[in-house]
Amino acid sequence: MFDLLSPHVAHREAWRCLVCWDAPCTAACPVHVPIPEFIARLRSNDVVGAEELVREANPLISTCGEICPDEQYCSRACVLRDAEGPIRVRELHRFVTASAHAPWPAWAPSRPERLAVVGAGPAGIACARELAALGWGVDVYERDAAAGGVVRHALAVGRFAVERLDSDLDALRGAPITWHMGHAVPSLREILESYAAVFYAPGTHRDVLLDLQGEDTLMVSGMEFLRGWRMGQGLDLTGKEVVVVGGGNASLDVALTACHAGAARVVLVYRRGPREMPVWRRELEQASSKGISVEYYAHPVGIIAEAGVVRGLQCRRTRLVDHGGRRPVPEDMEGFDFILPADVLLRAVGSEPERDEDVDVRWGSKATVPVTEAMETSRRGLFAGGDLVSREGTVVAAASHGLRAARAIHRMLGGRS
Amino acid sequence: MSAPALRPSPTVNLETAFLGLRLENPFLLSAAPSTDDLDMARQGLDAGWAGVVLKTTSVEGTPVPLAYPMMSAMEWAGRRLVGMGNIDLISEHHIDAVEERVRILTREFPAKLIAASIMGSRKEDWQSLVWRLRDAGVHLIECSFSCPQGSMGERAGAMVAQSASATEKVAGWVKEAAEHTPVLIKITPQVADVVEIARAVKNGGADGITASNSVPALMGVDIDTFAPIPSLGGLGTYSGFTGPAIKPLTLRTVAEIARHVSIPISGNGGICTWSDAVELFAVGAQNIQICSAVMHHGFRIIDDLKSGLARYMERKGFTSVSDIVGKALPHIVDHDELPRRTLRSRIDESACLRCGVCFVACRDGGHQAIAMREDRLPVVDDERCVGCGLCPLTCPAGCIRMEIIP
Ligand SMILES: Cc1cc2nc3c(=O)[nH]c(=O)nc-3n(C[C@H](O)[C@H](O)[C@H](O)COP(=O)(O)OP(=O)(O)OC[C@H]3O[C@@H](n4cnc5c(N)ncnc54)[C@H](O)[C@@H]3O)c2cc1C
Ligand SMILES: Cc1cc2nc3c(=O)[nH]c(=O)nc-3n(C[C@H](O)[C@H](O)[C@H](O)COP(=O)(O)O)c2cc1C
Ligand code: SF4
Repeated sequence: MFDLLSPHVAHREAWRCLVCWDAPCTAACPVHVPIPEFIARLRSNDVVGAEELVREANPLISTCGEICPDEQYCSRACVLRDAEGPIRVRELHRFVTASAHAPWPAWAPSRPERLAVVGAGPAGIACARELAALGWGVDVYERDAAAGGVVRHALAVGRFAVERLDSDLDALRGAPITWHMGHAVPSLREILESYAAVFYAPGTHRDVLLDLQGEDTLMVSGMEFLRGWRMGQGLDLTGKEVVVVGGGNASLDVALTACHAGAARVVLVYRRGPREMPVWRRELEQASSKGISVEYYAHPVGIIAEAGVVRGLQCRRTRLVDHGGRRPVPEDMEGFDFILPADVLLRAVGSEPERDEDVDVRWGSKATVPVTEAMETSRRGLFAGGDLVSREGTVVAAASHGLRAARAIHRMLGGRS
Repeated sequence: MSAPALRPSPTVNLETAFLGLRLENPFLLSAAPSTDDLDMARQGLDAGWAGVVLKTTSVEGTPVPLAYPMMSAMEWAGRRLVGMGNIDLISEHHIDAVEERVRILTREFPAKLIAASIMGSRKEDWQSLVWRLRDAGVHLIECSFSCPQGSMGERAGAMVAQSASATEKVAGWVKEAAEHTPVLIKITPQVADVVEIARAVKNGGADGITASNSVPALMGVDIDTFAPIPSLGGLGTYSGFTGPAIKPLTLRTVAEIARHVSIPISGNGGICTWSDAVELFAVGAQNIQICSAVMHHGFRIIDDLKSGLARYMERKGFTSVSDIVGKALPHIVDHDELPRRTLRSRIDESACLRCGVCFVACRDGGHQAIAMREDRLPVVDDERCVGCGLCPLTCPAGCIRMEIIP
């Protein structure tokens, strides 16, 4: 979590913006937050007006104000990036959403027919908001007891204040949305029969496995571990030596939470080198400041256990081989094995969707559902978004899918915008 | 004790003279809060200021009904004090206190210039103020003809220096009493013709002009309550506007006087740095008085003022501040005497940030002569560019210049 800018500093930062004529930052943002426009409102101290603009563009703006990886989006495109550092757009979002709450201008009376959203993660929330804003009644089905998906259940403790998500949900009060919580949709078939259009955004919630012997009993799922801590009943790791297998952002959340859980030492095992690690700089810095170390070029090959008690993780050194592909491939170096001592092994190498075999939707490679530009699947009337359809893996990308799908559904059903 | 400098500071002598008085450097603290307290005046002098003009005083019994808060600011672009506003009045300390301070300061600081500012209404008041200061050994007397809250002159709310006849008359009273003690008249820039006022000062017999005091201004309006800023329980009044924002007004005021009237000028209004000061010397000021910059950043700014000026003089080969005085005047002409030339905007692509600020400015406020290329670089259309010079001003990278086309 980061300190909130003071009004004066936010004002100064807003004035630092050059207001480029073509807003490369806006173009780089998946939901195209109108950055120069909201910054103009900040400059004139119309904070409520600024909030209105950013929230309209991004229903998860309070959340994004805290955890959007702006370094890969708006900040990266800022013309001041190399000259003097990019405008701190994300922190300005956070400032406006923390200081002001523009009430949504009265929700349009909704049409009698209702539409369905399955999964209340960022993608589902954004879609429901946009459908409601376009005048549709929406039924949202969510397996969990509360909306938010990964954002509520998986971010490292201490990295995200869940109040930010709640404030995004607060902004939807009064919307013609019925939230069916604790309602898992077992099969899409039925739902597709009762609604003219369905937006499907279940995320990816099945752990990718490592294929190690004894993995199912001797390794802990990183996502389960995170969820436990987010739900206030986390696994206590006091004094334990912990090894996390992973490499992506989620594995950093797991490692950070392991620190929070009292671990004496946390080591992250990654197959490639530091330059290949697909993580956000900001999160990596946070992890190293907590003393988390990374064992690069290491591939887990076996769990060391005695009488059902974990003792360590056997790893094999890897080296990167360039096969002319997009990324060099890590290859095992036979005979270069070593053991990392550990009391607890956490697995965080990714997750994949649970397939709904009941619906004849086409699946793509890499366990994603291919969709059109309008987020429609191969089955007419079924739209999909979020982690299910893309590996981008950010809240703002998921939100952009939800918004795009809602607008496409609206058009499909003959609505005018 | 300061540490020995690794590199010797410039050796230029900043000493200068004004109205026959020696100044160790050309920077004085003007009549304001910083000089309204004996210890503060001492601290300012200790810090290195060449002298003080003690805050304007008056005869005993003169009511000084201060109202608080008195300060306000012009904020712009996230900068807090682009300009400063005050609804202060003259000093609450009457001549009895100020003559005592003059005695102490002239004794404690024999090498510094100790001046005092006065304001009265009747001839007897003006003259008794002068006599008492002379007795106390003051080096120079400044007369405030320009308090924005109105002088105790003729009309309530009006300043003496807004009337040429009043200026000449009162300047005459003061000079008559001052005899050999030099007299400065501090004027306001808020007049139709400052040259006429400067002539009146001269005709009245005063020795020099302080140009100029704060500019009457309304600092703002609270858009919730519609109270003026600063608001005193919902009511407000006009302020005296000072600080960086008014420098261009001061430059013009001083230049106008220097171009048309032969009279020594102490420059004042909006000066913050040594280069501001050089500009004011160049249009005719012989020394500089400063108030707002000190109120904002403290007496310590004297350090940069002195060293920056010395380094500048060394670089330019000036041996005395007087070498700079008036240097810009021959270059100031009337509009019809300006050369007519052909200019075109030239953009250094290698330094361009590709923000398009110049493009928008020219499109909506120039001559629509800049286009943005596919790769986000601005290009100037020489056919459309008239050479107005707007775009370089807007460029955050400073990579645009105007080229003279033969
Ligand atoms: C540890 C971790 C850290 C991350 N950190 C960041 C970050 O800092 N910044 C960032 O931008 N992104 C981050 N991400 C990524 C981001 O959280 C996801 O990309 C985003 O949440 C995807 O949204 P989604 O709506 O597709 O899926 P989810 O968030 O997974 O939501 C899907 C929802 O659908 C529900 N659901 C599933 N199946 C059913 C069903 N059959 N019936 C009813 N409901 C169902 C689930 O319970 C869940 O609530 C992080 C992800 C992880 C795992
Ligand atoms: C709070 C305040 C009080 C002032 N009081 C006096 C005063 O009593 N007499 C006077 O001649 N000028 C007074 N001035 C004007 C300053 O001496 C000076 O002329 C003016 O501020 C312009 O210079 P600057 O831009 O450096 O501040 C005052 C200015 C301020 C800000
Ligand atoms: S949502 Fe994210 S990418 Fe878009 S403007 Fe905000 S911080 Fe930048």
